[in-house]
Amino acid sequence: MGDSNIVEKLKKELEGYKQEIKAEKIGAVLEVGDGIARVSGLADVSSQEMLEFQTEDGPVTGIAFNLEEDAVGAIILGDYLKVREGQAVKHLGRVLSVRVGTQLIGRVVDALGNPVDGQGPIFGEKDGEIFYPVEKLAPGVTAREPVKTPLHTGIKAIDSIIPIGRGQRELIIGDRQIGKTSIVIDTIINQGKDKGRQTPICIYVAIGQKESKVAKIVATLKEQGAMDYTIVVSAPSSSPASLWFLAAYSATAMGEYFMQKGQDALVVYDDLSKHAWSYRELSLLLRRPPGREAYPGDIFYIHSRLLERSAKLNKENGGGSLTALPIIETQLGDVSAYIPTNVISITDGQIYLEPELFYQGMRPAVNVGLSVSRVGSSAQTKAMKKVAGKLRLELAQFRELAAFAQFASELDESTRRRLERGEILTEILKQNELAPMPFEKQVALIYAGTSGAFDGIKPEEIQSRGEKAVDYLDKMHGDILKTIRDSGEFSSETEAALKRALEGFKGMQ
Amino acid sequence: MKYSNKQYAQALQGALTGKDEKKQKAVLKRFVQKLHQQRGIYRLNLILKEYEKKYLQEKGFIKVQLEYPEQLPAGIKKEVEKELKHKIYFLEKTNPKLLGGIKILINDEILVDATAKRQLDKIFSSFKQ
Repeated sequence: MGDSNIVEKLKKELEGYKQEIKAEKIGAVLEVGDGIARVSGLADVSSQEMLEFQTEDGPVTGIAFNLEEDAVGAIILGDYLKVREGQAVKHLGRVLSVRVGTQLIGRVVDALGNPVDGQGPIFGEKDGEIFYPVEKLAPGVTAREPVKTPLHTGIKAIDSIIPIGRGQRELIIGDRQIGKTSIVIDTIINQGKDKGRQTPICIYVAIGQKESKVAKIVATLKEQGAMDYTIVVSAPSSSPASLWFLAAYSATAMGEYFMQKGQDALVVYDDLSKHAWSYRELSLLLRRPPGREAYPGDIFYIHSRLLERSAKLNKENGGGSLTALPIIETQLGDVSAYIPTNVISITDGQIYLEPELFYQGMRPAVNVGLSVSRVGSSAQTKAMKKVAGKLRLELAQFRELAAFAQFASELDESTRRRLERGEILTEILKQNELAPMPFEKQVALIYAGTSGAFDGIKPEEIQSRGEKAVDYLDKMHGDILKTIRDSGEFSSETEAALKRALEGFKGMQ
Repeated sequence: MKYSNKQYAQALQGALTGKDEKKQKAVLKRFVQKLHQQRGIYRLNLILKEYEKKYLQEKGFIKVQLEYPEQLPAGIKKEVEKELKHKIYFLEKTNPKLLGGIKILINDEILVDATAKRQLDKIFSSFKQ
């Protein structure tokens, strides 16, 4: 803003100056520390209402969190070091909200929706002022419809065996450094490549992550062209627990905006274990009674009310959807801990990543036996359903036989063949990072594996042979892939054509 | 059992009423000991605030804190008394940062901020937005 503009604006302010003197109800800070304050007064404040701490360096925002008999426990969202005992606190009469709009797409914001990517203000002066409350009731039963549209992740093991639908909540669970974030990043990248369907607006929420990791993710998404439809909400490890806690809800509010507009949105919560830690910290500081693992009694509710906001709306309500991919980090593979069991029971299925598989070189390390998708199969395309049915069966048989085969010295021919086929299919499901595969190619590759096109090939050569086969089909038989992509079906004619094409490929090798 | 600050204040007031100075001192000593036993000494300040509030209320007073950038001009207190139509227990505070005007805090709950600082803050915050 230039000097003349400032003077002009100041002049206008002074000309239109009205002496507004009114009595306001206030409270006073009783104690403050670690991002938490106890405030006296404010008898008529409501839960989750915004507060304004009148510090010497200007107002600092907070939220009324604990309504006690003679004080209000508040979380401070700004610099709590500025807040001092005795300072006045006002309640603003509204719940915490974030400004939403398409302008957020491609930006990195904090838990309150403020830009943190150094690219200037998000909203212009002429942009509409739409605010969505951070906490909101989930859509009711009558506003919803069953999940029936697929959300392709581009990961073979997931799209074929544990399919995800738009509006579903699918948990990704596993130990640290096992590829949980890679799965969601691949999923986000694949949304831009999944042709024939509306590209969902993706929202990645980094809760308590290192800033360097967030920066790396943003750079990867930019490189892959995925920031064109992605919003990153960052509450890094250096930010207070209150912002870790709020980030998940703010991101959901942003996703809800697109869902209410009739669009599809995807929210990735990375991760809800840290989100639970932040709530535990806040609750203990507010002297709420601790329960199991020192979590407060309502720890289940904070996650259920968050994930319940994901929905597939019916046509009368715009037909939009909000898909949730929460991540939970386990300690030494213990899925029976408090938070993992809570979130498993809330979500519509889980993708379980196993350390043993990871160290055996299986990437992604998805344990297809323990992973499940409760609603996704009805969203799966007919083509994928057809080929994946056989894959699931053969892998199940393989797992069973492999366990017994360890003890047997001699195997009969059919058992040996089944074991070989199982190994081939396991190799087919291996996939590199940042290489999501379009669903029609996945269908063709899985069909090739289950129909025996790769039989007799050494397991270590399967991946390169698979890549070559897909490349061959893409270049020489693009019409088959196009038919599968456009129709979503795998008719007997398409199957026959694909079989011929695969025989042609085999003949070339 | 956990007692609230209000309950402590009420009990203290009941125990002090009608006692001579010597007995009041003994009551206060026992009160602090009891609070210490119950690990509630950190609440003493809040309990005393409640006590003050209750005491003034009983005596028919309201507490008014006047904050002014310099020494309070004569006549202001009378004006406030006339306006509030009540017996007032006044507290005065000088705060040059207010620049001009006056800040009135009634019973620690209602604030009338008619200072130049507030108006300037308001103008500057509109600039920031």
